[in-house]
Amino acid sequence: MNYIKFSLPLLLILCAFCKKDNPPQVELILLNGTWVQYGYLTDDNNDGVFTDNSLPCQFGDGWKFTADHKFELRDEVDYCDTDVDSVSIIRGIWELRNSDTEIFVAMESSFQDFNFKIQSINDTLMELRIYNTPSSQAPLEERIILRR
Amino acid sequence: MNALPRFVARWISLAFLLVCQNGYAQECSKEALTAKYWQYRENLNKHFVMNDRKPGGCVGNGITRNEIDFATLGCGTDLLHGYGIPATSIIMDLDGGRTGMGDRINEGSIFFDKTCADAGPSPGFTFDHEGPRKFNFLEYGSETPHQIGWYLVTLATEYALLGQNGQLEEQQRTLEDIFLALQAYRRLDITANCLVKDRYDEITAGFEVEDCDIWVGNHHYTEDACLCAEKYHNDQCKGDGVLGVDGPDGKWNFDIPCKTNCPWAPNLSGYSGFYIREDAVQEQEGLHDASEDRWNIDLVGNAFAMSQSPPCEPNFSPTCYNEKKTNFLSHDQTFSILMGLAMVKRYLPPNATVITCDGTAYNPFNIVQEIANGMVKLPQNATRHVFWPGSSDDDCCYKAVKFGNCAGGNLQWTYAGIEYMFNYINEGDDDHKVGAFERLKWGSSRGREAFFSTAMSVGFDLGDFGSQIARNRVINTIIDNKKEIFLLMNDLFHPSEPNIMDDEAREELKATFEQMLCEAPCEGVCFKPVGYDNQDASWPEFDCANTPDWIGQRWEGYGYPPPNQEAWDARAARQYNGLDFMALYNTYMLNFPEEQTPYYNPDRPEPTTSGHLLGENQIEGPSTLCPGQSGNYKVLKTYSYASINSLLWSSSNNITFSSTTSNPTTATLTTALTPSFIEAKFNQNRRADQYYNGNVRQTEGYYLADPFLQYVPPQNVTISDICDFSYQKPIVTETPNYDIDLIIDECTWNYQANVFGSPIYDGITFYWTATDNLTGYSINYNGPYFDFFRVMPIGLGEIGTVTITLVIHSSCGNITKTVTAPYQTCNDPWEHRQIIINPNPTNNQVSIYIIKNQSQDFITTDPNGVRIQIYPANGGSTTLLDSYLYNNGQYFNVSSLPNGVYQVRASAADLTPIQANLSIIH
Repeated sequence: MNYIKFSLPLLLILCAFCKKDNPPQVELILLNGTWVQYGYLTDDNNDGVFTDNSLPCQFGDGWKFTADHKFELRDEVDYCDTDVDSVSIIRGIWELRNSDTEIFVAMESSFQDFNFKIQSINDTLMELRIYNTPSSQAPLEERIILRR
Repeated sequence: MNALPRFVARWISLAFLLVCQNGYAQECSKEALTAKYWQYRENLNKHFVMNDRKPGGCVGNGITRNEIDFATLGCGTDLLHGYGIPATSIIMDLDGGRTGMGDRINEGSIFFDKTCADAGPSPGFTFDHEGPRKFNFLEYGSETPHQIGWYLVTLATEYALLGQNGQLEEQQRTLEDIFLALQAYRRLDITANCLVKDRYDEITAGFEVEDCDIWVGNHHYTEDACLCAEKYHNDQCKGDGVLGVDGPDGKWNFDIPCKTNCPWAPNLSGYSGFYIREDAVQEQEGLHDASEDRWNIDLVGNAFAMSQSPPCEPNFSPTCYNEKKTNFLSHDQTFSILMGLAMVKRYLPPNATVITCDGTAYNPFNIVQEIANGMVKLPQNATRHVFWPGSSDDDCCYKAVKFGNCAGGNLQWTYAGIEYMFNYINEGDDDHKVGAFERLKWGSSRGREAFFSTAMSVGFDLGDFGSQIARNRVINTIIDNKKEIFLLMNDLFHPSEPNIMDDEAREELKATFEQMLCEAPCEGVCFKPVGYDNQDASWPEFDCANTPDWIGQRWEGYGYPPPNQEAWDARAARQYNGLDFMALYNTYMLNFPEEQTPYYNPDRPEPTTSGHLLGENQIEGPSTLCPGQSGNYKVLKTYSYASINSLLWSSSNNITFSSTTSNPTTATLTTALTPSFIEAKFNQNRRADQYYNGNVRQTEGYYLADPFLQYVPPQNVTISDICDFSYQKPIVTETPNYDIDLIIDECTWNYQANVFGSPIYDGITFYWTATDNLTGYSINYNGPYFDFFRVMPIGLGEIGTVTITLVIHSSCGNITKTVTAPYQTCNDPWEHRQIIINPNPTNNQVSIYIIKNQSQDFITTDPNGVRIQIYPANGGSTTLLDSYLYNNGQYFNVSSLPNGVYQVRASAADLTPIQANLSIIH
């Protein structure tokens, strides 16, 4: 009984911290500046070995999540689409889902949606993962490394 | 209706509005639609496609004029240019022999060459400058690969329908047409590679090596030869900074300096993925047909032909001229070809083989996969662009020459679509898993809805795609882009349930498509601009209903309202190839098998599996004639208000007619022969409302003088539309000799006798008797399928014999068949195994269970599973489905089977065959 007396308040305090701090924390980290793409790794052969499959022009691309839930992926290096003078920008809207473990992104033209799982996140590094989405047409685990 | 997207509803309501305006659509019959399909098919073959088919009927390789070992093929090999690819249209013209030459006949053009006018068409065909000039030109051009795509869709679906109707020789002929179309693509690929090589050789030879004046990186080039001189700057890439889907650049990149002695070697496999859009030459003027003005061509008007000699002297670089005329590939054209390849992949068995005249065997399925492989690899580079072959090699050019946005060479936003279609075609090849960044760009490909519609329809089962919202996005995109046929094609590419539309919406779509098919003019898709008849009377005699939806290239987005009214109004009068109609007809029939009629080429009919023939109910008269008997036969009108013209009766060679041209006529049978038939070829001249700009034309209302001032209201303007028919009626001339097929499975109490060996014709009756020889007990039955379990003793392990007697009756006599079979009733009926089919009857799919002891799952030890086969219940030998059951409750799609009763048989190493009946009711 004594054990419950002591542990219950402790548990409540911990839960309160969880409720209060975790969701805003992820969102705040996410919003705090542009993320720069550092790596895009896939396991093409399903052998557990991930290799970087970024196109050269994707290094340094900017991922931006804004407080009004707008999403931008900017082709900063201006190399992937050399037919246009200005940088190419993919736009959409975003929201956190599934207890802040996923970033849902719907593209502006609404053709496709994305569910990025947040594998890890801190102020300077974020790893997103996508697992076997049907639109990859084959089993494929993708890992996107972003830095700030 | 809840699941029906708003655009579907809007489209359906518009379509029905049109239907209500047009009377003849109401009389459209299934037979008339099929007859229309074959009328279109004949016109396509006669006027729009020249195939490498030799006089004896066999086919060549479609690439080279002489059959060669392909290992020896070089750029100097005599290629069969223009063969196997469909022209888009015939452009009506007062003087097409000149007009079709474009800038080669224009004195103001730097490409003017007066010898072009004098050279005229290729030798052997008349080009009379002095006589009446009503000659058109055949149009190949930048849209030709779209036509190749629809041609492949039409041929692949035709292949499937012919197979379903037992037309195996004609099916092989269609396979050969598919092969020739695939080889035609390979020839376009080979030709493009040779054109590239030719230009590098020209630079080496110093031909047209005007100096470049261009900065590449930090170097200012002023002396090296440009890949193509400024005079070849094409109209697509003006570099004028106009914003739009092509971006603000629109730069022409062919002014890059290139070097002499470039070591680049052309890829002559036909699978490089780099191709030209068409390679027609004046040889295709062999399609000339002077019988009607509309078919009368005197020139093949296109970029490739105008770059070749004849008709003109080569006073420029043919390679750069083709570049100027945008005759090299673009990604929208690649999308269409991949769509066609996907349909071929869908219906061709992997082992289908074509043997050419010289005995060489080709596998079209492999060719399809190799072509797709080349197409997906071509832009597989860091920037997803198409580059001029060899130019990225430092030994050839100082900078890679890029096909930019304006030239359809930037696949940044569309590459995922190419991969999606490649993955469908090369199923199991995991080299093109579509990554997140391709998907992000694909998902954001605003302004590229036509690409999106095409690739999503091929690559995904849209009936099972994401949420309802996501599904509706795709459906709406398809409809907004006037590509509604993809709603049918997607269910063919991905036949598993659920369909893209729910049942209610699907039925409404079905009705709308049916009306579209009915509305299509019999004489082919066409367009006639306002004012055509006000021109010089020497213009070709040409009339056209301008039927909304059927004014040409329907699935490229045309039809009223057109994508660009101004551009559309400026279009010339054209007779189109009709592939948009044919592709719709076949995909519609495969989606809705209950609407199918007997499907065979009326020029080369083979006995059908069902015994039924096209239009048999439109020929009134007895279905049985015995030797010496006569009967009166009359063709009924399909369109009640149109007369029957040019009637010609014919038959199998055992029937004579009192008149071969009168209606009715009397037919007399001389000798018995199975199968026998009578045939009526005729046409009906129906009146079709004429439209301009989507609206029915009307006359002015006026007042009559007599009776005084009676007002005659405006009338719809109609034109003649001649519909050809070739209807046949099977005639029973002797009692057919059927056999008895016994199916006995004691432990399922399955005792059946069926007739088999011939189709079941009208006028044949079957009388069955089953007698248990142990007890003498008998039962009788009339009909083709006899379930005689009631005659069997009910005891366990009873041994005896049963005698089955079948009397086949026709008015020509009876044939009696008898079989006696031993039986031993089941020792333990509670162990019996059964097939449970649910639902039964069905119109779509069924789940199948094998059970024992009435309720227990039967689990086979056979590693292959339980083989499930479906046959016609009349005992025909055709296997309509042959698959395996791995788990009880597994679904099988039987929606393609016409109405009827079928036998479902199950067998495995530890399961002696058992069967059950399945009814299909659509």
